[in-house]
Amino acid sequence: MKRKWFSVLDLAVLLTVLALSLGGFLWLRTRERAESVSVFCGDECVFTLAFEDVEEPVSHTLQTERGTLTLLIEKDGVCVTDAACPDGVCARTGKIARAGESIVCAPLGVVVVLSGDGTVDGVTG
Amino acid sequence: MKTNVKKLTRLALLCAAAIALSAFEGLFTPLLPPGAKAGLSNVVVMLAASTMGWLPTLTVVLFKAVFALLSRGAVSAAFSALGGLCSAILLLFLFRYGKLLGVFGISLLGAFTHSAAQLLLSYALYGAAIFAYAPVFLLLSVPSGLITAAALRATLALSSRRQHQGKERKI
Ligand SMILES: [Zn+2]
Repeated sequence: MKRKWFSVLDLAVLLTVLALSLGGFLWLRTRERAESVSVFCGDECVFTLAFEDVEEPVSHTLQTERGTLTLLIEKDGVCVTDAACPDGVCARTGKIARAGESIVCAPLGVVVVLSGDGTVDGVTG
Repeated sequence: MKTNVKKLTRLALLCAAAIALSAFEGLFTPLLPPGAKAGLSNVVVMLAASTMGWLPTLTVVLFKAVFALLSRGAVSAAFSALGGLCSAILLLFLFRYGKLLGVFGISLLGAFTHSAAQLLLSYALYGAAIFAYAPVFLLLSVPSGLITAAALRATLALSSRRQHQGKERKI
């Protein structure tokens, strides 16, 4: 028996993956407030900072193999102020503030991610 | 003896193809951390898993990991090895026993497992921050699975035409 290209079970698998991803997106939306910022360069996490430790806006410059990228971290969000990439997409993303949001600089291979602590906004304990 | 040489040659070709595709992928700088790749080189793992069995498949995975180690460092190698091993084992199992699954379903499950294993490693290395990425990362296994399945089909069709069999190889 030759294996089919696309079977009924495949459709079930596809729908399950889509449902899992969509569920993940919705779950992230419930964690409005970002608790910390993490910066990835290539495959490695090179920088992490909790927003509660930010009193005054801090500027952080990253040296990557392909150039530098400067972040401005404020009490309520992060933006890329300057980057050595040719497209400038990361700087144009603007400020991100909610858990699950990210800024991607593809040419430099840098990704800035905001994460929450898992609690829903307003629920502290 | 002759068949062994033939098998070995084919395995060497597959390893070379996997490395070439990995390098090609590397040109598209990471759009997603950490170690997320479009999974083009998974085509080769699929090909090995569907037509050649356990040992050649795991050899290809190992070659990919060594290439990642040499070109991108130890962290990338760990991502490559873990994602590769988990998906390869699942692929081998499904090609053997997943009678009701189509090529696309197997490919999708392989890509999904690849991503999920890498997410778990990211979590172990970097903590919960990585879950902000999980949905996009897992969703990407859909196009990745589609592309891999289509490429596998094209490759098999081509190779069977080469052998003048006029029909596709059974997988
Ligand atoms: Zn940029």
